[in-house]
Amino acid sequence: MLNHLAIGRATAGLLVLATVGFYSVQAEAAELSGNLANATSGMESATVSRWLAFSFTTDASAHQLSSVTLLLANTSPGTAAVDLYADGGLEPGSLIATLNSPAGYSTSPAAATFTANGMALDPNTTYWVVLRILSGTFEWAWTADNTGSGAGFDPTWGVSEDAGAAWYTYDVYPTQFSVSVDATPVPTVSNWGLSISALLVCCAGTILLRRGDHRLRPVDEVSVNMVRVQSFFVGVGGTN
Amino acid sequence: MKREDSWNPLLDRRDVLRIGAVGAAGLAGFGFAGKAMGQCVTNPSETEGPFWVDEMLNRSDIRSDPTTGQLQAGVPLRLAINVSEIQAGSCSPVAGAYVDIWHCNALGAYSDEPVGMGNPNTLGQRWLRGYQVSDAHGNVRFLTIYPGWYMGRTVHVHFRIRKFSGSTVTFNFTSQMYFDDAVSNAIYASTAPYSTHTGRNPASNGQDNLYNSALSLRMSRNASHVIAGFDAVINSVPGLGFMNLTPTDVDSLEHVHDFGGGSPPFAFT
Repeated sequence: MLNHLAIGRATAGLLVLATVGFYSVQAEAAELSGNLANATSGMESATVSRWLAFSFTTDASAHQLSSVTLLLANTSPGTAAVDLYADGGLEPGSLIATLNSPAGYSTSPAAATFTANGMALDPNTTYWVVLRILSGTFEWAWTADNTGSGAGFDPTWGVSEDAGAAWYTYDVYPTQFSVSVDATPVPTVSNWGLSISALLVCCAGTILLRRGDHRLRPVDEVSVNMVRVQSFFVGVGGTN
Repeated sequence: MKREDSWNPLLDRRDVLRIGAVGAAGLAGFGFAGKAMGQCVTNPSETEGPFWVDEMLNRSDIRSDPTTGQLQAGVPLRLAINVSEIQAGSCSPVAGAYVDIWHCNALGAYSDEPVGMGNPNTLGQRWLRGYQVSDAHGNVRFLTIYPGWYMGRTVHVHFRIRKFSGSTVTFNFTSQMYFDDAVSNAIYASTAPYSTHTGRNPASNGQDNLYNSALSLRMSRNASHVIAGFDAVINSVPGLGFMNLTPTDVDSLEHVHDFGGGSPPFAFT
């Protein structure tokens, strides 16, 4: 038996899939602020009581924080955490979130990446990243080069000798870091291909339905095939 | 000890010459005027004033009198200073520089001074004075209070940067740091004990004979304190300073006549 309502839904589903595929995007990380490429001039110690921080500023766009990478050496075995703070006026203000720490650290200066799971960042806003030592001793590289890359680079950094109670901040010779954010969504080549395929499938399905060929297939079969198509797109899209 | 600072608004011949030289240097493109924070430009030198005392107090928290432990009342000021050396147009951090600061208390008085020129007798007291030795990053930090004011000057903190070889001073530079008028006025109007010290003349940086915007602090008044930073850029290499003179402060020979007088520092390694 024909069920025109179900067939219409199937067609609409294909159209939705085609549309989703058409506008499917791939989030790529971009550096908002960083100076890891600069030559290292020295190391600042960070301990359980001695915290270090740096600031960065977002541009006019809203971003999602992807990760923060610090040039660290774990000179006495231990663990560290990185916190994101709002600006408190030349110093860290209120705590926003804690990032995910890496599984381990190098004993010599190396990039240590703390992930953020797409934390939302407001446009035109100053943030502070605070290195909080949970145990052991770390050394954080700094550079005598005050330049950096990214729209939000700021050489301001700070030190607290009392676990964040009082900060002293400087605007030269910053610690070395990179702040990565999810870039503005841009369609990728693979998604364009999927989008075109989805559109072709959609058009073909519509033509067949108008010709009455749908009589050859029960509604349930059409529905099952639609689910398979959906699964195909979900599976492929998940790898992007 | 000389007494020609602008506590008495009339400047002596040397100060007039110095101010003129600084102004001329700015006009001649030596970069003394309008220095933005973080720029690699030497700070203008300014007079040490009449209240310098070589106490040799090595401490970061300068709020107390080291003898009695009594704290000076006022809004906490966290002051971070970086010391850089300029050579061939580029800057690098200076390790081992002795950075002294000294300033008046919330009511405009300096410690370890005899009565006179509006200052009460504070001889033997040593609050709001101290020095720190810069680390490999060129940094020092001070915890003090927001300065008050006294007649004839805008709000300021004196600083001196010295290098030693053993007990011999090999470089000596003095100048002053200046504060944001809006922050000063807000604190003086609303916060004791500043608010008990009424009147202020001159009322602004612009009315001060020694004020130089290139010596302005970057600062923020936060809930419980003021945080401030300053980039001190020096040129201590003989023959490469202003007008090709060794940029050692010309006041240095007078220091032996100052009140107080501490022991020379140990040679730094």
